[in-house]
Amino acid sequence: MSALVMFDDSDAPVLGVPEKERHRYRKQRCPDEEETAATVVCPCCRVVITLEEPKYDGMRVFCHPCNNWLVIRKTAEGFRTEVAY
Amino acid sequence: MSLKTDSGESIYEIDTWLKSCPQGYLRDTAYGHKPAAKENPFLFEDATTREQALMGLAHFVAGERAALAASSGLINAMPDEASKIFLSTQTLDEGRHVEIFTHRMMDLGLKTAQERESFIEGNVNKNLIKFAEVLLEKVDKKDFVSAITGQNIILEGMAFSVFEFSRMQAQFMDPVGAQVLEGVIADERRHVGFGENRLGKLVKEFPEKRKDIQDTIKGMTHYMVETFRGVLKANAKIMEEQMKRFSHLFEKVEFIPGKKLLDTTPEEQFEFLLGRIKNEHKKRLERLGVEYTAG
Repeated sequence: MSALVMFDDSDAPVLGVPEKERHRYRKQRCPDEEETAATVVCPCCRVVITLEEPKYDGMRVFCHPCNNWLVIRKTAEGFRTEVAY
Repeated sequence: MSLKTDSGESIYEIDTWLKSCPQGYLRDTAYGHKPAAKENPFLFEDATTREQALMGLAHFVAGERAALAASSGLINAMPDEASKIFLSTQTLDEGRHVEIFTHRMMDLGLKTAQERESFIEGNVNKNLIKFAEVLLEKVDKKDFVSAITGQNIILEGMAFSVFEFSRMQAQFMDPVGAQVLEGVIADERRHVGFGENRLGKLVKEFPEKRKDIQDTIKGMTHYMVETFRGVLKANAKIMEEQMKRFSHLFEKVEFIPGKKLLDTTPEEQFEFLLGRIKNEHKKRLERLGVEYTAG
């Protein structure tokens, strides 16, 4: 039997997401899970969102669980996700 | 800032909340869980396990009562209609939280209001009560910047992480409690999201408001930290004993990837959780352009 990780929440449902979007949302696999080329981690509520297209500077993503628009910025170190106020 | 979702719905409208929450993830639930959800009989048969669950619930009820009073009191203080309407939904969410956590206490044997109030009075950490008093003073003064900071950033931010942690623990011993917490966590995400968004917009327009936020954080974080330390002090021994008693259930469980739960002490678990909360607060404030100066 593989280890059950307390902070691996990725199998738990992310509620508050419209049905057609649910496949793109999950919780983190570990605390401070890092983003990949295909995912963003909402800085506000920590859900992981799978993107439907490659990241680009200025890309906007809506986070349904916390109702915030996120903006992806290109930096020297890669991409950074910000909350748009 | 767009007040619309990606599909064009208004973010803070009651209609959007209805579709997401009561007609969405709360559909066909009763007191926060599916009516057919199976209880773990051990939770009711074992006095120590039951007592531990009740201790957590007592703190949840106390915290949610504060949030209910603050949300409802803030409706009139907010300067814009969208915020007033959102807070009306948050008020209902918080009222629901008080109700479902109270109901869970009844499920666990505290059937009368007197029994529950006596248990809450005797067991809830006094720093949480003090936190609530300070928060409500700000609401009474209609200081919505400080009150939103205190409620939606500090209190809800803490509650969000504590509920996630509690849900992870509850999946072993209290599967019905874990379901109840799922819905609460979803609500808290929305509340924290609103708080950050509203404050973010405010400090962009009025940068001098950063000082109010900073002062509030400094004044209120202390009570949050002391609540944690107090709850740890009261429960560490029981937690340690329970982990030993149920070591057969936990032997393959990792607390975080690579670290076994049984190799952690209650102190380490609490410090990890508190560290996570403080780090979240710090990052949230950094996004708002506010320096985190609390201890």
